[in-house]
Parts: sequence; structure tokens; C-alpha cells
Amino acid sequence: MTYYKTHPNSELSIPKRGKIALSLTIIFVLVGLSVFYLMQVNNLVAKNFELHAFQKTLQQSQDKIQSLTVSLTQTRSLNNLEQAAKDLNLVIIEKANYLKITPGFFALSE
Amino acid sequence: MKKKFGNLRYFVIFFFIVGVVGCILARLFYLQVLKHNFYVAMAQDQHGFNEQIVPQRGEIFIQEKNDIWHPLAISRNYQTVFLVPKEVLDKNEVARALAPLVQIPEEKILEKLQKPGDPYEPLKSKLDDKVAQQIQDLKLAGVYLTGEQWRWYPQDTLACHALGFVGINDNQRQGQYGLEGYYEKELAGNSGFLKSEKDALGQWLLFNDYNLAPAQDGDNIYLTLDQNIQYIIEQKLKAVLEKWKATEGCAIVMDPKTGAVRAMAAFPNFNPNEYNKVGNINVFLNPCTQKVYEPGSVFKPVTMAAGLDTNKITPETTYVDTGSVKIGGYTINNAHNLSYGLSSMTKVLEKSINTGAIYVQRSIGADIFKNYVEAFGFGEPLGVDLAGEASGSLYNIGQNHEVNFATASFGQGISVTSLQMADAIAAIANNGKLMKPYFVEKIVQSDGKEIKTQPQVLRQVVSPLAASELTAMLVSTVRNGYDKIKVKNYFVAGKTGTAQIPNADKPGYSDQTIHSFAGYAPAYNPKFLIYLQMEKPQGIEFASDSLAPVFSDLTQYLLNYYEIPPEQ
Repeated sequence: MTYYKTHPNSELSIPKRGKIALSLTIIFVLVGLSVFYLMQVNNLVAKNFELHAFQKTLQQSQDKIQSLTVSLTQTRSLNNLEQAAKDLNLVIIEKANYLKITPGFFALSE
Repeated sequence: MKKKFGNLRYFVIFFFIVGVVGCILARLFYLQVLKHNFYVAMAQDQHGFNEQIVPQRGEIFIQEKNDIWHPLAISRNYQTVFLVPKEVLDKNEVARALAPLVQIPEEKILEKLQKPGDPYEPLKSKLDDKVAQQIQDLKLAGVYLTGEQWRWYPQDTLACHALGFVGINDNQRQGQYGLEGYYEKELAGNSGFLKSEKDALGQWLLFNDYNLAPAQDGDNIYLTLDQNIQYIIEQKLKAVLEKWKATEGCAIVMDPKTGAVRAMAAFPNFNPNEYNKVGNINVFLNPCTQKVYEPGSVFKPVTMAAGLDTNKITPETTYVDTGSVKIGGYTINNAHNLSYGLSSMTKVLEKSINTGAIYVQRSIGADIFKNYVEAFGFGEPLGVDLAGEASGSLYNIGQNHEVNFATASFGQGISVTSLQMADAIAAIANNGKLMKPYFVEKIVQSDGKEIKTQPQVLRQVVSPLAASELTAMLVSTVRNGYDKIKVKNYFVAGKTGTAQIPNADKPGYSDQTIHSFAGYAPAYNPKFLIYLQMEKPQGIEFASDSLAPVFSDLTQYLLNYYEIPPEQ
């Protein structure tokens, strides 16, 4: 009867190798998921900061718009216009002449 | 013996451990069950963010010709300066530096700084941007600025009675009086909220689950008021009130065909930006819609309209005026006890003859007269979109006393608002159709949806024929009755009123009067109606002398403004 010494690696049976592979896969998946989770959390935090920055910019722009609106409204206010009219010696129209348009007549340009 | 002590030690240790564990469990029960809500709230406060989102209040716009809009009421960010006394290093220096900027005496600022451990003392709100910047540049410890939104009325007093203001009610900002009060719900909008986590700096963090309900901003309101007409009418009304030292007055310009109010002015007025500086709150009441008065002869067209519509009279119908009429034990006279002899109905309006108005009222009968007065919109609110509209009173003609009907025929013994009187005359101008007066041309919601106001006919009060006959009589009244109206080449209809004011403390009337004027142009295709009223003028007897020139100027201005070519 002849006996053969088996290779050390061949000591592991196929089911055992499968278990190791499964364990490794699970570990990789877990590590992968953790990394993915960290990336997502990091991304979310970054987006939050970005959102805050945008909100700040929006607020600043709104403040600027409001400031311009206030300034424009003040300039166009009737009290201001009245003063400007006085300064420019403008007067209220008291008499207006209306042109009578005769039907059928019109000017022609060359 | 040894075994006995051994057991004792065992029991002592056992009970000690049981006791300790019991105490821990009891404490845990206390903390986790009994105080559950408290600690949940505390934890929520530490890492939770729960804030109400305040909506932006809607803006109010005034128009001018060619669809141009200007803001009349907007929300504006102001800086508020406040102190944290416990952080202030040199109280005297802070008081000295701030006093001239905030215009509060140094002693008062020092008073606020004296409270030890005080974490917050408001100093002044609604700071000018320049002043806020100056305070910031001082870099004083314990002095802070914070932004706060307030309502701002850029045109100050313009249309203040129609506008109202945003005041404080139950610690809440709320629109009061006028349009701000009437449209409070639409202007205020709806609050939203944000419920989320917060970071170490206390800022919201949209992490995990968060709950966001955005605020719904208030609607923007676009008015029928025209700022140019509003401005000119305020100037003219103010001038005439000052000229005749009148105590109060109001003026209305409206489109008789639609009921759209183009201007509404009243004096004494107020600045809605500084409503808290007004001593007498009666000033906030709108004299055009919230105060009632006996109209006097300006009411005669209403009586005449009833007579024409029932065919009891025509413009040419005559009667003999003897200068007075006796009813029961009462004698009713014409103004200045004048008598005009044989007079037509047109002449009754031209000369404003009281006995003529009584003649018409008696011709149509008490019940029918009362029905017409009610149909013209008197005795109940017209439903205008302003807060607190008064209804006036027809109590006297509800009493079935003949003399009351007689006096009512020329506008005494009944009370009306100026807007009711203006709207009734507008009905005559508008072929007998009474329109519902309104101030809002359109409402634009925060999502951009536009709601346009459609003119509303309240009722056909008199026939178009009766209205047109009456208009011709009123044109004749302006031409032959009021020499101070100088509007050439146009047909202008109008009627004055000089009413006696009843005594406040006893029956009868005082010597004081209310002057009024109602008129429209162009008379046969009216574009505008002007109603003027002035209370207790001094040194002038009749409205035909006091208000007719103002009406004349305003009519000329409006004919030019609307670019209406001459009719003659």
C-alpha cells in the first residue's frame, strides 16, 4: 500500500476555504460600507457647510437688494420729487392743447 | 460560631449589594421614567434645532398712469442696539459715546447699565444705517447690534388713513386700521418651521431626519390709488383746511364707472412710521369711512333722483317757493330765509332750495323716499375693503315723523359717511348703477398667482334716463350756481352742501357747519368723481365759496392728467 504526503495547503478542505472567503468578503463589504458611510457623512457635512455659505450669500444679496430698493424708493418719493421740481422751476400743466386729427388724412414719408 | 458570623457577613454583603443596586434602579427609574420628558427636552435643546420660520409680510404698491407701481408699504431691516451691562467695562465711557448717536441722555443710558448681572438691556430700535455703522465702529464691549424687520412707509404720511399701519397687539405685530388691518391675513402670510439637528455652533445641520415646512410669504397688494392724484389732493385739501382754519377734512377721488378709489385723503393725518408718537388715537380713524356727519344740501341730488325715477317730477316741474314750509309745529326755512317764487326743479338744485327738496320728497311719499335712500347705500356699510367702515344712521326716517322726512330730503337729520355720499353721487354719474367702492386692483400671491378685483355693481338704483336728466341738472347747477368753478370747454356736474352741525349736549343745531362738494367730469362720460368735505371752517359761510375753487383746480388737473380733450 503506497502512502503520499499531502501538501500543507491541501490540508484545508473546500468548505473551510469557502468560509474564509465568505469571512473576507464580509470584512471587505463592512469596510467598504464603512468607508462609503464616512464618505457620505463627510459629503453631507460639506453640503451643510456649503448650504450655510449659500444662505449667507443669499442674505447678503437680499440685504443689498433691500438697501438699493430703499435708496431708490427714497429718491423717487413724492417729497423728493417735489423738491426736485422746485429746484428745476417746473410747474404743473394748467392748459393743454389737443391736436384734432381729421380722419382720412395722414403724413407719408418719402 | 465561626459559621454563624460567616453567614452574617454573607447576608450583610448580599443586602448591601441589593441595596446599592436598588438605589441605582430607583435613580434610573426616577431619571428615565419620571423625569423622561424633562431630559428628552434637555437633550433636544442641546442637539436639536427647532425654529419657527417667519414669513415676509406682503408689500403694498400704489400706481400711477401707464401701469407704473411704487412701493407704499414694505418690510425693511433696521438695526437695534442693545447692551449687556455685565460685559461693559467702562459704563461712563459707553454712556458718553452712545448718547449723541442714539439721542438718549447719558443719565438714562447709565441707568440701564447700573443693574449688576443684567444680561440684556434694549437701547434703541429702528436705527439709521449710518448711526448703526458708527456704533459698530466704536467697538465697545457689551454693546451689540442686531437686525430686526419693521414695516416701512417710504412716502411717510401719503394715504395714511387708507393704509393704516402695522402695530403691536398682544406682543404680536399686526396690521391695524385701513388696508393693513383689512388685509391682515393676506399680508401676514403663514409661518413655517425647521426641526433638525444642530452643530456645536448652534447652526442647523440637515443631517438624518429633518422636518422643514417652508414659510408662506404674505401676498403683495396693488392698489387702485394713484400716487399723483393722491399727492395733489392732499396738498389741496391741506391748503384749504389751513386757509379756513377747519378742524378736519377729507377728500375722495373715484372712478364712478367701476367704484375704484383713486385717492383718499384726510386731515389731521399721521405718519405711519411713527404711529406711536400720535397722542390722540382718534387721528387714526379715517374721516372718509369711519366718521359720520349730516351731509346737508349735497344730499339733494339723491332726493331729486328719487323724484325723477318715480316720474313724480321732471327737471322742468315747477312749484311756488314761499321761503318756508310748515310741518306739524315746525317751520323749515331756506338758507338766509330767501324765497324764490315759481321755481323749476333745476333751479332747486342751482339755488339749493330746501323747500324744493321737501316738495320732491312729499311728491314721492315717505316710504318710497326711504327705499331710495337705502338703495343709494345709506344706513349700511358699502363693504369697502378698509377696516372698520361705519354705516351711518337713518334712524330719524325710521320714526315715521313727517318732519324728519322733510329735513332728510335736504340732508339734515340723517348721518352718512363721506364715502357713502361720494358713492351715491357716483351712481348718478354711472347711469344709476351703484358700484361697490374698492381699493385693491390686484393681489399677487407668493406663488405668483394673480387675483384681479372685478368691479361689482351693488344695484341699479335709478334708471339711466333719470340719471342722465339729473346729470344735466347738475351741469346746469355748476354753470349757473357756482361762479367759482372755472373749467372751460367741459361739461362738469356738481353740487355743494353746507350742513349745520348738531349740538353735542342739547337738541338743535350749532352755528358751526360742514362744507362739502361732490362733482364729476366729463359729466356725460365721467372719468372721475371728486368729493370734498371740510368741518367747522371759520370766516366763510358756504361751500360754494370755500370748496368750489378747490374742486375747480382739481378737475382741471385731472382733465389734463387723464388727457381728456375738450368737449366743446
